Amino acid sequence: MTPRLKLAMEHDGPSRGRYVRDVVQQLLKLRAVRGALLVAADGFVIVAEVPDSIAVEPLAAMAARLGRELEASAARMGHTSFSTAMFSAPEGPMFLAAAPIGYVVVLAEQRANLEAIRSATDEAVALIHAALAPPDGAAG
Amino acid sequence: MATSLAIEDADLAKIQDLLDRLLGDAACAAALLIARGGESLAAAGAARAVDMVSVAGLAAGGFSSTAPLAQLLGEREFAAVIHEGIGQSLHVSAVDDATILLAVFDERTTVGMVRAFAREAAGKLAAVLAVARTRRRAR
Repeated sequence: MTPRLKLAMEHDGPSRGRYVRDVVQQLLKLRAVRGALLVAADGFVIVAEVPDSIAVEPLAAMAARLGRELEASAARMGHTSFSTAMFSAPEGPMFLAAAPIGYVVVLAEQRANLEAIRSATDEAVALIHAALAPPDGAAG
Repeated sequence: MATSLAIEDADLAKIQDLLDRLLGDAACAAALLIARGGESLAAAGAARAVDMVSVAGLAAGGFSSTAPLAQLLGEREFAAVIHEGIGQSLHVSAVDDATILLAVFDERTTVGMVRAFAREAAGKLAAVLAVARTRRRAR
C-alpha cells in the first residue's frame, strides 16, 4: 500500500485566497448567521464555512443556479444585474449576492437582523472585488 | 507544433512569479508550467522537493488524451481537467497551444479556489509566452 502523499505548503506570502476566505469567515461573526459560502458561477465551492449538518455541494449548486437565473432575468428586464437577493425558508433566510468570481451565500436564522446581514454581504462582495481586481499598472 | 518553447531568463522570472503567486493565492502544494509533450518548464512549491517529472509527463498525456472526447462534444479541447483524489488532486488547464498549467492541491483548499486562480494565472502565463515568442520572431 503506497503511503498517502502529504505535500508541504511552501508559501508564506500574501494570499488573495486566504484573504477571500477571511472575508467569508467574517460573515459568520454576525449574530444569527449559520453559514457563509463563496461559490463559482457554475457551482464549484470556492470557500465554505457552514456547519457539518449542511450539505455544501448541493447548496452551492442551487445557489449558482439561482444566481445565474437572477442575472438572466435581470438582463431580460433590461437591468444590468442584481446585487443581493433574499430567499425565505423555514430554517431562516438565505442571502445571495453577485461577486466577481461567483456568488456570496449567507445562511441566517429566523431571528437574524436582515438589514445588518444584507449590508455585511454587500461589504463582503466589495472586499472580494477589491482583492481580485488587478493592481493598477500590473503587467502579465 | 510550430511554437518554440525556449524561454529566456527574464521571461522565466515572470513565469516563476506567476506560479509562486498561484501557489499562494490558491493554497496549492505545487504549480508547474508544462510543455504539451510533458517537459516541465517551470515549477513552484512542493514541485521542487518532489520528483514531478513523471507527474508532469502523465498529466500532459492525460490532458491530451481528453481532446478527442472534447471534440466529440464539439469542443476543440477541454479548458481544464480535474483529477480528484481522496487526499491529493490535480487541476490541469490549457495555457496555449504549446503549454499547460498543472496545480497540485489537497484538502487545505478547494477545487473552486484553485480553478479561479489557475484560470487567471493561465491567462497571464499565455501573455508572457506570447510576448516572448513575438520577441524571438522579431530577431
